[in-house]
Amino acid sequence: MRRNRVTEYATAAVLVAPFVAIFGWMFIYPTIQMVFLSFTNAPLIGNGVWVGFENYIRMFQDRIFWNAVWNTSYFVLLTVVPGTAIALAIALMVTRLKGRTQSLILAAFFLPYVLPITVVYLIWDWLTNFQFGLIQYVIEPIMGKRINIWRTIPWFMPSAAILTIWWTNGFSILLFLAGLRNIPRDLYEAAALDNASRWQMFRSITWPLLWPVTVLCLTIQLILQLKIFDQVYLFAQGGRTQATMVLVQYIYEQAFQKNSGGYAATISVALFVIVVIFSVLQYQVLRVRGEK
Amino acid sequence: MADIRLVDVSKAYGNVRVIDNVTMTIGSGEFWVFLGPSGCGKSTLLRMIAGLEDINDGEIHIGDRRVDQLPPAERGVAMVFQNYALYPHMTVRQNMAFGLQNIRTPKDEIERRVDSAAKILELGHLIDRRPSQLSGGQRQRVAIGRAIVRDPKAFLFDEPLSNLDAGLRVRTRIEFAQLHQRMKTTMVFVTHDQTEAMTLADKIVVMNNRKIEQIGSPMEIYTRPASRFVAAFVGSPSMNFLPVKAVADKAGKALVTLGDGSVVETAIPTANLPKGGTFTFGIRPEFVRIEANGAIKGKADVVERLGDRTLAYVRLGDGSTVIASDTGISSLDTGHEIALGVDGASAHLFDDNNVAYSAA
Amino acid sequence: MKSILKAALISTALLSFGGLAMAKETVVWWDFLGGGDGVRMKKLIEDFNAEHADTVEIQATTLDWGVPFYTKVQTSAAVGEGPDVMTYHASRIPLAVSQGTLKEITADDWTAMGLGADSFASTTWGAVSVDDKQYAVPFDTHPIVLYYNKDKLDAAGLIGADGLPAGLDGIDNFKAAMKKLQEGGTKYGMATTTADGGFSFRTIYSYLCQQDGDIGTDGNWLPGDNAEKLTKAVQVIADWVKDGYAPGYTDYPSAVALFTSGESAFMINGVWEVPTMVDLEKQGKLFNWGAIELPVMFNHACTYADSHSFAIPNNVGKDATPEKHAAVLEVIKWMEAHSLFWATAGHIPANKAVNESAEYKAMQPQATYAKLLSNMVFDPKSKNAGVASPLFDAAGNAFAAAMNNEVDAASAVQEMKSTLEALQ
Repeated sequence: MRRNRVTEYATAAVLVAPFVAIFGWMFIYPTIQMVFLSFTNAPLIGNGVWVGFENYIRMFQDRIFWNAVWNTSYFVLLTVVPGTAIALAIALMVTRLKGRTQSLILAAFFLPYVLPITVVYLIWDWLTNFQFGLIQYVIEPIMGKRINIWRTIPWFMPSAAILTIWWTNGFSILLFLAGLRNIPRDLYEAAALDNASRWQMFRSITWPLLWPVTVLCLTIQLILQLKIFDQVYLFAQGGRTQATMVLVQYIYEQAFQKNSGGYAATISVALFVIVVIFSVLQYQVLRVRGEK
Repeated sequence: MADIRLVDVSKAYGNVRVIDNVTMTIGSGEFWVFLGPSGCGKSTLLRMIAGLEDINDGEIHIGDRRVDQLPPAERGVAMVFQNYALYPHMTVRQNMAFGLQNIRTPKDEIERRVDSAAKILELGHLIDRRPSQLSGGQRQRVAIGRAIVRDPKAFLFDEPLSNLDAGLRVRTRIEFAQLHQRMKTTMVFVTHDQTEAMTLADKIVVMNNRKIEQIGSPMEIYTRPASRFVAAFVGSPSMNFLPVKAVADKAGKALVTLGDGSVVETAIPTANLPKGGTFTFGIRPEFVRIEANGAIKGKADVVERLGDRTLAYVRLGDGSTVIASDTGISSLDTGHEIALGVDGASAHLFDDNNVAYSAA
Repeated sequence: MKSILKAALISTALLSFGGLAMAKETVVWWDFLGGGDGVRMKKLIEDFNAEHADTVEIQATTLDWGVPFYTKVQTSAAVGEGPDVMTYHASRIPLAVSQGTLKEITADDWTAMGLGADSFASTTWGAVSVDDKQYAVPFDTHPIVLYYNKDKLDAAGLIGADGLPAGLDGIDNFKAAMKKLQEGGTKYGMATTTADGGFSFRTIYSYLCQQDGDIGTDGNWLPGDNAEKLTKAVQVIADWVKDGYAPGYTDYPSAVALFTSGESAFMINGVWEVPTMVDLEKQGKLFNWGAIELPVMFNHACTYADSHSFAIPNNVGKDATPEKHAAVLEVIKWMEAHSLFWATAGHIPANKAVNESAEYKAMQPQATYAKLLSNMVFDPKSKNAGVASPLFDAAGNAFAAAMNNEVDAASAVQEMKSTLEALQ
């Protein structure tokens, strides 16, 4: 049966049109507006006056902006690779369990992921409470005194990273589990006959065959963690918000608290560029490694 | 090279027994085939020898070592999996070298062995490709190559031909035979295909329902099946089974009256037969000939012309059907009334317990 | 089929005409009141609706307190989707007015409600005014106060002849009192929110005012010697922490828990914690307690306060009908008249007619601390000030570390000053 090319293209166009329309309306158009806004002094609501590169010049001289860039990068460094490694380790353990035990343990690891951040915040706020928190009973013997984790700058980001890994790891674990199940069992049997030790099996079979999943996990995590906001915002409330400022939080502060829509858009553009650069770079680096 | 001895080997998953008291000795350098329908336990038995499955009872010896408690790698066997189980991210060379690297074989030794195996299997030009870039037959050869380089005491093959298309399967079968002649190593081969079993094996182990039905050379299995199951499973087209009305004695041999009243003189000693009970008469199609003055009358329902011979599905007077054979060029046609002659010397009898009785 | 269509038409007609015929106005109401405040406001709204069953109905929605509430109001009013009336912090009015979010309360409106400048304390009236125009109707005044454990103070001999705490005025006297309490077996003298510099700003700002200090305003933050005065104010709390009178890094719930469990004899907190104490006392789980105006640490009494007020959003492109506007004014008027019940939440009713009534004067400890009405100070009149504002944030950043002696008070004040000066 021969098909008419024009008809085929028309069908394709009709099928993708809803997506293209929504994508254009909800994503492309606002993005263009955001870039436009970054060249104005607009407040949160309404139009502003064109100010050229003033916002960008201000941004490059803004101590808090650079602090936010550093904090965000530091947070990414603390969460993306360690979080993925922990997820892999947990997945390797869970995959060796069977039946109901496996479901139960998996549910335990996945449960935090379904919690909203507000609940996560309350749980950890009480766990780390300076006066009554359970974790203080661990910190006190080690450090010799209690530590107010969310008010002590060197403790803030690592703690936020730990709770973020606790919160979001369930998803990576699921991805890794699916990846592990995709590795045929007979490869391990062949390896067992090939004198491979447990470590050699992991290194020579599991690890290379999981690599695509690992790349996926790392990329998802990277983009997610670059957009860190809720945890830092909630835990820094009333405290040293400037010292622990992250990029999205700074956008929020400028737009909603300080009513500076234009400057907030400028920082958003910066974040957009950073996310694009980071993810393209990471993807390239990981892909090259994988193809070696 | 080593023999493989299994003594009273049993295995169960929970309450479900998958292998029941299996005992056998596979002679050094022999080519044995485990044959049976799927689910009969033949693959499990092979994997037990390899060490990929634990056993619950009994002993396994390879050469002079008891191996049933040893991990797979220490048993000195190599296995080719049904799906080949090639490492998809490694090249052909790396696939073959992996096992040797794991036991820290010197580099030049690995290279020598891999090159030699590649040469035997004509894989030289593919050595740097990955499995995804190979055809099914090529992958299969790589899997065999991976087994060869390890220089094992025995080769284990788990349905290695089942993923190949028909033509390639025949060719590869011949390569297996040549490989065995060249290597002269003990080989165990699992298949559900009786042609593979018949053509390759020194000894066939016919398995059914977790148990061994018969162990014997291909011709023994074919001509003297131990049970009705073996008789039916081996041979194509399958053996004819006809109900028996009566068994009489004539000079110590059984004289069988079939359903339609015709009488067949067999070479089965009457003394071997159990007293009483009912019997089933078994005869392979090639021993039922179309003869103008044959004793059995019938009508040809279906005629199959295979070129070298012609098969006729013949309805007898009592309604039972018999497959008979004729020469390749035959005037026989559907609907013809014909007469059949039976070679009683090649006939079998089966009792109520499906035990087979053949000519002495 | 025909009859169904007919029925549908009739019912539609009934619905549309029915609305007109009944002329019942719906007032969409937003507030940010949670906890004890929320429970009481819900009761007031129910009572209002019951009393006005045929004329006005309040449809209330409670939203999240703080920046989310104010952002939502600002954005929804800008597109005409705001409520008809809402609660608003007086301290947030300058910013709201600069954003054009609020409608002026006109002289006619005041007349219609039977209220005016005379109805409120002058500071409170000033707090809802920008350039002599009013943008909200004050409902209450909610200052911070000093809660005390009467049993402990009694044991330490700190209760005077009038049954109220005595001898607490002055930095040294107050420390001496806390020392006496701690020697008597109380773990801490004072529980206050030392983990949150924004919250503590209320206390610090009070102490600044007690020195006649001034935080300044946009373009002129902390003029003259006010930085030194602010430093002294911060130092008061920092010293409490340093000397072990107050626990460091204590967040809001912990401060309340320390006080109610008897581990701390004093607590500085908002009047909105009064219901917590009342409830616990009712359940027999609390000691004898009281609350008083903040003791004088410096020259004279002065306490930070804010006011919950009612404001009418400027719904762009959607002017309220005269009927609706009248209904809104009726709601506010009614609430003002019934604010005695609101006082049970700890707040001081803004309406003088109520807070000077005999019923209010019988209410304890409310009547005791109500005298601070003449000594209060509201946030500076700046669009960067008010609750959950950049000013609170700047204070939070600077003072959390200073109160816990991680940085000295003077540099914290300098940090705050430079943050404020960087605001645009």
